[in-house]
Amino acid sequence: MTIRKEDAMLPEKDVNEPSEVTRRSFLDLVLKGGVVVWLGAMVAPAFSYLWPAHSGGSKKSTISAGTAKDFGGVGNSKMVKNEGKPIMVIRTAEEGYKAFSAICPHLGCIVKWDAASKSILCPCHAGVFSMDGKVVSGPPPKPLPEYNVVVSGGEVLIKL
Amino acid sequence: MRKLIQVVDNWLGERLPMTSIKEFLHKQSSKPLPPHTSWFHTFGSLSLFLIANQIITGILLMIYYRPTVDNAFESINFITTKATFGWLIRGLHAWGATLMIIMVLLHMVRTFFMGAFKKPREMTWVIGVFLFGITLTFGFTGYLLPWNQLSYWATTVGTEITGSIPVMGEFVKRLLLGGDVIGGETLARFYVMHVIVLPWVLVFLVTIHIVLMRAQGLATLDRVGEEIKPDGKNGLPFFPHHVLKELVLFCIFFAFMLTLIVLWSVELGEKADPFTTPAGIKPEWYFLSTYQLLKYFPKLIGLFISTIPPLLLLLWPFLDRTSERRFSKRPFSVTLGIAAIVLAVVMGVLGYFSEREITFFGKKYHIDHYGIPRDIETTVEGKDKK
Repeated sequence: MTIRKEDAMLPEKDVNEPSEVTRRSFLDLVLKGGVVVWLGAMVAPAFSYLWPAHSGGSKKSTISAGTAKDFGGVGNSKMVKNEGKPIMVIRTAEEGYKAFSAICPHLGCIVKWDAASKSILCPCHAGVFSMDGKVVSGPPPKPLPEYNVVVSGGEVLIKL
Repeated sequence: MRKLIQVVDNWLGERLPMTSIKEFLHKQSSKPLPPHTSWFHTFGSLSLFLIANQIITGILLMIYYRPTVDNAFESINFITTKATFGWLIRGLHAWGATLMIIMVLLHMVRTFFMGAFKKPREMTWVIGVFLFGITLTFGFTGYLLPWNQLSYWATTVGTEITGSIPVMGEFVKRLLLGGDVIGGETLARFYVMHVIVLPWVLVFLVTIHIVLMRAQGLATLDRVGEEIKPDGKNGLPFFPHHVLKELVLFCIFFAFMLTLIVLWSVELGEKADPFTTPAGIKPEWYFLSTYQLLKYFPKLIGLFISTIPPLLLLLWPFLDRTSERRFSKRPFSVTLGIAAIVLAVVMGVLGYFSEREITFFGKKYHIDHYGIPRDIETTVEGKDKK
């Protein structure tokens, strides 16, 4: 390493000596800090604006899937919408129903009920679920989320 | 006419340093290019032509397009079937997008194999990789806009993959979608990204890319640090030699685009239905290799593996620090480059044929999720025997 002539001639500084804060350096720091704070104050509302707004109104605790008549018989299924998301309701017995989220946990495709094989199929990547929503084959990493179903006064209600 | 030009020239001359501007333009147009400059060096200009095509046709499409769930599909249908030459404008935009990705890829392949990314052009390469990423993002955001079944579900699959990124995934997905599921908010967000944000970023980066390229000149095939600057004797004049070459290719390329539009018109298909997924949904061809690769690994490992190629691309000028540019003298990088291309093509082909039935030499096969062909007849016979 070469030492410049001018540097060599400089008086040695005591490293323990506190560095001097001049008015200029202080104002410089305040200005820079101010710019950072200002930028933050500008970016924060813009980011909050971009973050999806929550839909107003209270959430429902149950939704109706209709009556037994709407299913047309044991072994049939029906799709019900809940806040833009599909729920699949399967009539498994005369008074028995099962409800699952119809969104495949693999890559978000909508599953279909196959009455012939009594299984739930994903059309995207050949995922197969049993009537209990459990993965039988294919790439889905977990079972379909299940909802409780109650029949009240002939109406099939899905508990959310 | 000459008089008018003279008047305009004088008027400008009284207000601007016209002599310096003219000198600068003359210097740029007469700048000699390295003697090995060939047809392969036109991929960059063709990418630029395609960017111009996308901007012009994009502006024209915006006149009739309506970015809402109720109107998006109908407005594209109107453009294709009712608006005068709408089919042509949409065709130029849709085919232009595909060809732009091919052209940017070819431009990168040429730069890689000719070692043009090496010192002092590392920054030009890095900006180029970002430009490639932006081109893909253009494709991804634009694909949803027609709001048809294919675009809706391909975007669902794409955003679900984003959602599985550890820690940040769900956050980024929600920010992208503007909610929990793809809807009107998603369409608006993708539209703004596609027509405002991305074009400005693209124009900004392309400008820096071109300024760097002009300032540093095209790379020769000499070793790093031993480049012989092309001069009037051994160089090839940019104008008219190279410009003419580009113009010839531009005419052929434009004719090729028109042929594609006439022979393979861009189908609109059915309107998006968020409650019915059509069978065998797949992303656009340029995401097929990543999509197929993700199938062979658990989600997290797959995502980790799929981030390696773009990272390697970005950092390659800083990893490959040898002085040689000629590909015959860079066996390791060339082999790696060829292997990457072969892997991408194989994965893409497997992704394309997976979950389909094909007939090969009179036999029917079902290509499964992983791209392995299963003989349908044998399977059926086997089942019958049982």
